[in-house]
Amino acid sequence: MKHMSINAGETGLQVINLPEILGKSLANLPTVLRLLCENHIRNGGAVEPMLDAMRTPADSGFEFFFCPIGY
Amino acid sequence: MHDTTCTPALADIAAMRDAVAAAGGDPAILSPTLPVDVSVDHSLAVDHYASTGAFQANAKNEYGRNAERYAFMKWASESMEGVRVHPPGTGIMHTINLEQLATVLQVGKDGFAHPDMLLGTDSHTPMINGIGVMAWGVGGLEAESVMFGQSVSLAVPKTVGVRLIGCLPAGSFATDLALEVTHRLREIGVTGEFVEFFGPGVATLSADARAVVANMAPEYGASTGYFPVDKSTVEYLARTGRSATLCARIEPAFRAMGLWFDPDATPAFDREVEIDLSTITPIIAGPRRPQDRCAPSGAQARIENAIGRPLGHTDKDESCPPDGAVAIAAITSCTNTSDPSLLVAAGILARNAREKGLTSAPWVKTSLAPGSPSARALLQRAGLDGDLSALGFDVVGFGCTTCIGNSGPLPEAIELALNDGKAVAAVLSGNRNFPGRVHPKLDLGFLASPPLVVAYAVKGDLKGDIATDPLGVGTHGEDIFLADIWPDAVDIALALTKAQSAGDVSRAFAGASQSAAWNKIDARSQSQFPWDAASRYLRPPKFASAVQPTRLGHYRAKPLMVLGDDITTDHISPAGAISADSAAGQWLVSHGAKCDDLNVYAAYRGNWEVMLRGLFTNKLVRNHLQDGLAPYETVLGDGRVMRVFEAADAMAQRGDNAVLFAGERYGMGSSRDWAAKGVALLGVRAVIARSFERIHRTNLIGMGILPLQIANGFVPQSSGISPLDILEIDVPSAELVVRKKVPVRLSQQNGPEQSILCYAAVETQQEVGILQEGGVLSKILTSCLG
Repeated sequence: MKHMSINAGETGLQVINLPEILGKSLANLPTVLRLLCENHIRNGGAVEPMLDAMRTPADSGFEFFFCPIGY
Repeated sequence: MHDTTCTPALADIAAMRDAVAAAGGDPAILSPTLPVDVSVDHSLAVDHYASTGAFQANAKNEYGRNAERYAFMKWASESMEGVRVHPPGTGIMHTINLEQLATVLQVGKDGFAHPDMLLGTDSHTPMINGIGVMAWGVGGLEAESVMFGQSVSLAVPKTVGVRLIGCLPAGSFATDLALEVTHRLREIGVTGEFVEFFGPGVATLSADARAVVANMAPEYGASTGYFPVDKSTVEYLARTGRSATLCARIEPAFRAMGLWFDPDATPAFDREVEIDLSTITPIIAGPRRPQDRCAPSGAQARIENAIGRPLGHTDKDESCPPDGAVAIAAITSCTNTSDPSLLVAAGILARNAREKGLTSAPWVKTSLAPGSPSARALLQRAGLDGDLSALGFDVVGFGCTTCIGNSGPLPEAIELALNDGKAVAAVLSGNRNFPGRVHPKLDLGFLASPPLVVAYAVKGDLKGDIATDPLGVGTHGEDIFLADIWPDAVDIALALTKAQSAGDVSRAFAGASQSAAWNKIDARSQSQFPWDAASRYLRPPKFASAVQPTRLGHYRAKPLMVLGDDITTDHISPAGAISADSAAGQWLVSHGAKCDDLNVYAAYRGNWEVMLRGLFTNKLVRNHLQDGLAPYETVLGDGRVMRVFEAADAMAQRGDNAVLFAGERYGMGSSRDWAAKGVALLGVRAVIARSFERIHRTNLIGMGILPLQIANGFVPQSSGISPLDILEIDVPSAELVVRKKVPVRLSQQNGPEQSILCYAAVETQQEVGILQEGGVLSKILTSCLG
């Protein structure tokens, strides 16, 4: 999983580095799709098929595996 | 989950625990792997109103009617790790989520942070999209699957961008925008699609207002109504008492992930709609669908069109409700009571009306049921609670009430007006107005902002134009118009500044959570629920007590019913009051219930006997299998007319397979899984429809029923299908794939054999697997039994 360290408030946090993973696709993606990608990655879903689907979403046959995480 | 969707889900789990125990396994293995929050908000009825004692009296009735169910929920919270129950009085689930539970950013102990997300078993779950939390409503069965560690599999959704420009003018409210959005998006059709709001207008809306618009996502048909996170989101979190640490983390984390809102961004949506906020005016929607918005001046014409005659002249006796009277005026629902500015606006209108000497019409049933217990402190500090009370808008409780049909009995004057054939309507700040939704006897309802609800209570009818006709006569004999009392934007802002306090939310919630009545309920922790064979509320569901075989296959079938367009889950499985002369009422009375206190269907979702008998009993259901059938009837091939559940049983005894036909948008409305569970109990193997609403489609699959979507011009309700017709369906389990083409051969007694081109409305491989395993519950049970 590609993640990055950030300073957030008084502490550091680790977040998934969506801008690096999605690259140029990010700017074109609605936030709802960016969020589905984040969830898919954090749940261990395959990244490459997801990236292909984000480049050509229509009828890609790709399926997100969505699951909330409770802490 | 809320209390009416959690009861069947928890009953399923309790029954599956029994099955696991009977097989020698550990029943406790069936405990959720994710946190589950249950809100007890759906069982509060407005029996008492327009008095300071209404709140206590309604709460007492609620506990009296639901003691057994509440003990069951408490057993679940004591016996299933991860299940947390928020007792009656803590508010409506979506408001609790907004004000209490949602974190927007989740941070684990390991320092990893993720956007907060959830799934909810209520169609209005997307309300939390208003503060940037990704969420949508799922059926109870899908939720059970998620609880036990399954992901929700979804194809890449179509996206619809709603570009907002301008800002709302003074005098218009978030409600008006939500109704406009609903209208516009229903026009283009966004069923199952992911809607997101973008553009510079977004930044002009408070997070509270965004939540109002997001809430109505199911009314516009979408899965989401998403607003990205920005400074207004963080401001909302701080204003509702979230920690400074959390608030400080959100912007840097969301910026780093590329998820922070940029008003100038132009993402590539599949489709776009533009709405200029500055054009939004006060509107209402009705009288039968949320998307039918109109100016208030159009209400009379809408009613006349619906009832097919002009409204009569107003009676000379001003104490009698006129034709076109307002029967119920309810400030209700999560949708429009979670935004403090809407409550304050209603209060200011009440204050202005009171100062002018106006009051509510005597026949109107008035009520105020906020989604949050903190609303009481807000209105008290703003000095508006007394004004609302003076017009009959005393707080009747903190729950869903009128919005979901728990409106309680109608005033006697309204009952008499209905008996006289007068048209009467509800005006409510809710999200739905389907006929019979608000009250079984009310076919007409208009959705409106809270201040308009109060104004209609004062006017007492929907005739003419509330914007230009006098509302009443003032203290000095002068006509008083809406413009004279409409809340001023500056007054609203001042009142909010004076009244809002960050500590209110947590204080009111904590107080309500320490409910003495809830704490008195006796429930012990034990892995298996001690079912009571004499219970009228809880019976082990048959479909969860053992592994079920798949309903796929190659088979011949007969039509059980042929339904038309816009069949809602309310039509399929009602939530409202049970009449003593109904099949469900008769069953309850034969099991010891009192005729005059049968409670509502929603309270019996843990008892399949009652729910089975309630199927398709909505008076607007029309079965096209034969002319002249009552809504709850169908006809067999031998000509016998029977109640639907009895006919299904007769077919099963003869070994006949049953299928159900429907038109467009089958299963729209609430996300109730009983609309699918009930049809499964009828033995239906497939539902053949022109189109399906999203959540209901997944619920059908969850129960192992194959949704078949008609792909050619075949219209079931106008095709002369008769009970003697035979269908041949060929979908062997091993051959099912996503969107498989399924030819259905129809041999009609009075016509040539024809082929109905259908495809399986199965969107993912996961859904294929569920159907192959006989449904979600069978799948879970199979995995537990090894």
